[in-house]
Amino acid sequence: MAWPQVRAALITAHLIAIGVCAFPAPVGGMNRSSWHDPTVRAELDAWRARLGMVGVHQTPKQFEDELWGAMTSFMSVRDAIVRPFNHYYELTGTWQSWRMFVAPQRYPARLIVDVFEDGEWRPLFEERSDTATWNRAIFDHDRLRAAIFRYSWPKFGREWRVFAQWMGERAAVERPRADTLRARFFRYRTLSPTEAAAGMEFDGKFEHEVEIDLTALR
Amino acid sequence: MRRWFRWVAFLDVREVGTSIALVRLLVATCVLRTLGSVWWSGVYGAAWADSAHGGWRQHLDSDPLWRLLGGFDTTTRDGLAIAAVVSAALLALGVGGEIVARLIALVCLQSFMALGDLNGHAAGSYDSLITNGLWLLVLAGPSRTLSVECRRATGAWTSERTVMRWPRFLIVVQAVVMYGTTGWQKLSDHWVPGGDLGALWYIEQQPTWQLHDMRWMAPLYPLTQAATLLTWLWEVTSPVWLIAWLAEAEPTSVGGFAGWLRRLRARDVYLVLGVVFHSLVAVTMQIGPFSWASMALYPAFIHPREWARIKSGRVR
Repeated sequence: MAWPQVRAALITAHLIAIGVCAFPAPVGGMNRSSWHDPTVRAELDAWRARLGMVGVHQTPKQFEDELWGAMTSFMSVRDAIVRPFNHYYELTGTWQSWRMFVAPQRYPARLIVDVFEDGEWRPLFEERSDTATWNRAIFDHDRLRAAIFRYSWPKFGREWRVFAQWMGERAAVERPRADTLRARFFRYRTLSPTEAAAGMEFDGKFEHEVEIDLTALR
Repeated sequence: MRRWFRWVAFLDVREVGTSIALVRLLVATCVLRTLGSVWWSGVYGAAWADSAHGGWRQHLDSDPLWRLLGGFDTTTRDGLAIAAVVSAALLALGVGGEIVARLIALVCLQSFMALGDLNGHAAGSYDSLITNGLWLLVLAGPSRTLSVECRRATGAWTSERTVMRWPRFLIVVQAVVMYGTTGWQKLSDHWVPGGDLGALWYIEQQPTWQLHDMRWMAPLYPLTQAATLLTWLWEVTSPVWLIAWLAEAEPTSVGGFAGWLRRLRARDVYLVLGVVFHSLVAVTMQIGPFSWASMALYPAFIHPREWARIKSGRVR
């Protein structure tokens, strides 16, 4: 077989490999605990309502169970197709993960870190704040933003506590008078344009609160 | 069988290497910029180290290279970082002939991938985009022109020596696959026509990716709705971009739909929209080097014969 033919076969194999890996798949949705998130809930409700408009009426549970079943079946077929190419992706860096901004997060979480110091809670770091800017160069970096975004989801609970512990270790050194570090997320509904124009403030609640005893880390 | 032979013939075309050389320069620059920002921000020691060495992850992830090297330690990590920086610089400069340039690109790919894969929680799609670009540069052997190698071999910085066209084709396909599949997964009620088209407004309000508080955009909401629709259409229909590119690449053999796209200059329209889209993202959001890594692939959309015309101000 002449080289151009072999080359064409290899290029075809590459195109198939990236095509099957990139093909839309609900990879990030295969954790049903994430479906309790209000952003995800709103999307599910919107699509259930759309189906209702074309005559498919289902309860939320029916809709979610059927969706879960379809997703599970789809993913098992997808995994079987992608599996033979895994070594190729791994060795050549040709993974195709283009699930970017598939839905805006209507209920985002903002990381807030304070320390108990000299008898009062003092703000240390708050995402996008211009006043609580502890280690801002690190926390504002896109790689840390990605990590913090992940840790606001329930399925990363253990990793979130490990991250909070790491922040505590840094604070124990950098804030020698502080006794306790408190890390938590403020989850709120993003404002609609009308609400923003009216000057409304965010309404939300704190969650995933972790306190680290800094005295034990010194 | 005739289709197969047409496919083989399509992949056998040669052309001047200007476009692929520009991709090489931009992708290598992206690697340097990415590694530089990780280093200067202090993220290097936080994200790319385990908890025993100053990082927060108790167990780092590992790719095949780490397994080959016996697992994580800071000396190996630092060695890989130096290898990535040096190889990216050499790649940008275009050092080495057919084999050495490919080896340099391979070293850059493997070291960058090993670093990026250390902490999957602190990674982004731009890592994959950069590694995909580097792998295609490994296949391309990209130092024929605009390179130190060109200067060494010919005495000039540019050369008319030809390269295979198929790597450029694969880069175009990669960009289209990225845009198309991300668009096809934007099924949110805020993205799709028939919904409120509020996706870009709400994404700009997410603290994770904001550069600044974006509530000031409220009076511009109708514009963000139009931009949402345009972005969604641009991504979902991006396979048309590939057809339009093919129509430009082989103008003598196109007719019908492809010929119509060529007359409409659809390839250039998609390209300009992409530049506008990424530029707006870059000035309003912090999503790392994604915009730059995406646009680093854009020279592949331009036929090498067009660069001279663009340089002289004659677009077509």
